[in-house]
Amino acid sequence: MLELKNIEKYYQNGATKSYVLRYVNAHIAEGEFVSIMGPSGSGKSTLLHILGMLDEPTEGEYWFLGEAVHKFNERRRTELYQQYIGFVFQAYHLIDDLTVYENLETPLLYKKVPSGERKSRIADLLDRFNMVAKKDLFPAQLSGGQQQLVGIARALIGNPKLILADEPTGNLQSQQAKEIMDVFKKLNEEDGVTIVQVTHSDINAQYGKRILHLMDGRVENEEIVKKQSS
Amino acid sequence: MLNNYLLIAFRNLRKNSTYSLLNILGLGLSTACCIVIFLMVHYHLSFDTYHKKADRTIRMVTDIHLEGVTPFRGAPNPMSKVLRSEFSYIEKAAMQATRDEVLISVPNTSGIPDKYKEDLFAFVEPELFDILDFQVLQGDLSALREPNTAVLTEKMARKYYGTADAIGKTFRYENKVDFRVVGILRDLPNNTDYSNGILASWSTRKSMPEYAPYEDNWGGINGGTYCLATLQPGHTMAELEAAMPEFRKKYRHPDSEILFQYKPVPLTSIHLDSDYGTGNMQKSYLWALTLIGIFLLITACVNFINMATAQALKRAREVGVRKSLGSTRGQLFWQFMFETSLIVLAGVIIGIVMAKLSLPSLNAWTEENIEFSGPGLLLLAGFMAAMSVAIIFLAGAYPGLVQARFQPVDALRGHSDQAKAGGFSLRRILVTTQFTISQILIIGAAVVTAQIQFARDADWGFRPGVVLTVPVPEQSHMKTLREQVASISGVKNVSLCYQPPASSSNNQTGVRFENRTEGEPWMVNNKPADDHYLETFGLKLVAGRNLMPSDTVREFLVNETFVKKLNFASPQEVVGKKVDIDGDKGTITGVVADFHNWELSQDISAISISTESKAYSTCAIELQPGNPEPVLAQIKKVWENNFPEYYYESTFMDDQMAEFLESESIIMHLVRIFAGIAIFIGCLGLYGLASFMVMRKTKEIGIRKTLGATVPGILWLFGREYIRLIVIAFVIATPLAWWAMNAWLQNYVYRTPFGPGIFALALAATFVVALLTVGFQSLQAAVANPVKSLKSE
Repeated sequence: MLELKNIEKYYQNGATKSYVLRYVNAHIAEGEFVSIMGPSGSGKSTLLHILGMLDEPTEGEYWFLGEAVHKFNERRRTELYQQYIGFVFQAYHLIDDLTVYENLETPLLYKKVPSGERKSRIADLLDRFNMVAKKDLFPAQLSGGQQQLVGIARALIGNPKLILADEPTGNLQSQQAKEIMDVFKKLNEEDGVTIVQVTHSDINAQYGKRILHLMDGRVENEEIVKKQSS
Repeated sequence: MLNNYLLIAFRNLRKNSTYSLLNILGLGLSTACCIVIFLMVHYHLSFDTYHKKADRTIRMVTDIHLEGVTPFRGAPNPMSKVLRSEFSYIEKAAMQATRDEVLISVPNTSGIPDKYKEDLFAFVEPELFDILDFQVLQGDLSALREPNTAVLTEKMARKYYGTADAIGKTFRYENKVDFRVVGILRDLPNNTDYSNGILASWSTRKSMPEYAPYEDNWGGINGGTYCLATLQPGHTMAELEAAMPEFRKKYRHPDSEILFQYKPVPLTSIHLDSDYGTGNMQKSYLWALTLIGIFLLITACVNFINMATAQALKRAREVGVRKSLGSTRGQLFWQFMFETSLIVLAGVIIGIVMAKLSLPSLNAWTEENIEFSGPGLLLLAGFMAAMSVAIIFLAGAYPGLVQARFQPVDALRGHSDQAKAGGFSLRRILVTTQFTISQILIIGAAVVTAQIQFARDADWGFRPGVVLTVPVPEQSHMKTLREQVASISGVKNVSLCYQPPASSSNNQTGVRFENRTEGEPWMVNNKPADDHYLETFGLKLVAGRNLMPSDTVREFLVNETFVKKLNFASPQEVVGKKVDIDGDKGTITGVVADFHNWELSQDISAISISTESKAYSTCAIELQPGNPEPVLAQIKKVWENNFPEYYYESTFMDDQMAEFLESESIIMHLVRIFAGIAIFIGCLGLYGLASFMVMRKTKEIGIRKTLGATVPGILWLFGREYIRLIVIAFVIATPLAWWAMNAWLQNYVYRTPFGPGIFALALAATFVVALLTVGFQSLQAAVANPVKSLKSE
């Protein structure tokens, strides 16, 4: 599905370059569930943002569904992004001034989805995540776990092929975290959505099929998850 | 999508209600002021532009060449007649002679006629109705060719007869001449200086003994006598002007060919021209108001940009989220433009309402009639639409662009680059602009105030104590009046005279000294007055003695300027010398100290005082200190016994002198009020900005406090920045304000000195303003618990 070739990200600071990513090569196939792990500052989040087209690599090639993303301008990246990618954040990043329903609606508005279809899609998702009763609440009125569920629902609303999750359970307690991870697992297995998550937690990493270990901006090794937690 | 924008806009406004309120109210206030200023400026520029032939109509004015050149707004009586016969391209020409304080008596059923004092009375030639636009409601204007006919406006007809249907009714002029009403005009628009409500036929004037001898006289001009003329299409004022040197040879002043030099000026110039027109409004004030209006707009925009970019930081995360949800830059830009438009729209609507509500009281106060309707309204609508679009783009585009450009990743992390969120340098420029404007306005307002105060405290050269003036309508009873008034207890002095020392009507005339063959090349203001004049008005004698009682002119008092113009070193030298003033020969018996004979803004003339009793028209009464009421009642009684036919009016001298200042000071007050509002709006912006700075530095403050910073130390963090900006603004504002106010003060002969004091005041005032707006919030931030502020990251 996507391929990274010699991705580099650095900040020029006078004569010195401070590298965030160095010679990252990766291939992720459709239907995979990949975890990215590594200590703080190893470049996990930057890598995820590049995958999600929210950030640009300084050098290197990024191929997505056979298209050369690194050559696209912002408008075309946004189009590609709207069509295929959903993002889930550690801090949920719901828009505080919009209700659950309106938060879910916003990506569809940007995609110019007609009103009737918007309604039915939102209704489906609310139903699926058992949030129908909460649709008119504001984010501040929900618990962290509930907010993250809305965050996931919002990422799913555009029927993306790829979900990128940046420590999706980082702000949650373990029980809520488990529920969220189960949702991801189900999406991957039942709906065939490709998932890439960044995580600190070994337990969460075990939900995936493959783990990329990052260290100082390089991919140190790849690990295939053999035993899956139940 | 619009719905979504609308929702988020409304919720945002509600959430940040203080900001929103400051923003909308500030904008509303400045819009209201801009509208009012626009209406005022438009009103004053529109005077007499509504006449259909205004663009090819001129008014003949006169330059009096004596010493220097004195511009004068009148023209000699035969001017219109001669223009008609001399120039084939003059389509119409007409004289209009306005008279002040005319006594009009209207007969009624009781037998004792109603009496009115009117200022809006004019003798006019019938051609005037072909030159200016009047709407005739009733009657036949051709009847105005006959003597003893007059045309009234509806308003005057109602005032005199209780009905507009007044054709054939009569009134009496100055107890001498009867007029018959032959036409009724629709009330005149507010924006005309040709605003007479009673238009009497010129042919009547020809037969009145006081005017008849001068009908064909080229030797005299009167400030109220205008000559208007319409040129045929295709001919210009320049043609007429070019013909004038020849013209004045043919129609010369009896004494000198060059004394009166005529020239045409545009009809519409009358209102703003204080040389050749009424100068009812000075251009400098219109400029000042326009400038303040522009300052207000700039301040409002700066506020808006400041507040919006401050908001942008708070909303950086939302921008990041929206980008991660697939929003394009354009969509984000228009979202913020949409929000700006909403706020601007709300502000403008509030502004319109405020302007509309404030207009009546403004009109009452300035005694103008500015309307929120009519043809100006369309222009106003256009102006406001343009203004709104300008504000939206100026104030909305910048933050919109900045926000749309946020890098989503940075924005999500909440540390969007400060430089991008309205970089510090831009912010500094904006704040410095605002401080500069405030300081210019403060300096301007202070100078204007100082000038008002200066004029009020000025030494007029005489003591305007409790002096009452009453008219002397007939010479026959004036001596009796004088004696009877003098015998009232509570009256200290009584003097009969033509006018008080300072007056807007003065006679200027030629003077010949001793045996010189030529007249002096300057004019003397001759003030007919009796021997009690000096005592009554507290004029000081510096040489010689007072006049002896007399009814004819044998002696003169002159002033110091008179002595100076004769090139004598000391007043003593002229005492006992002979002079010939206006054909009256006499001896100079004394010299009085200089006093102001016109308004304060004009130079003091050479003055002579003589007992020319036939010119007395005023009785000046100095009262003893104490309750004046019973004395006033007695004076009135005595006056009415002597002049039962006339209308009693009394004026206190200090009221009259205040009136000299009034029209100026109203507009000066207006300038001050608008300046005050602009400063206030600037404060609103500073307040918003301060909270932005506090927010921006919350983390820094927290860290500094954990490192042991003191509260004053943290306050200095904010203070340092502002003090620097204020000082920069001061350096920019001072020369600009100095230049502008100096130019303004050139309008006055006697001007307030203004030095470093006023500039220091402006600087101090700005510091106080900054302290009040910024200090409180800074203090709050400084005393806040560092743990809380660090957590907020």
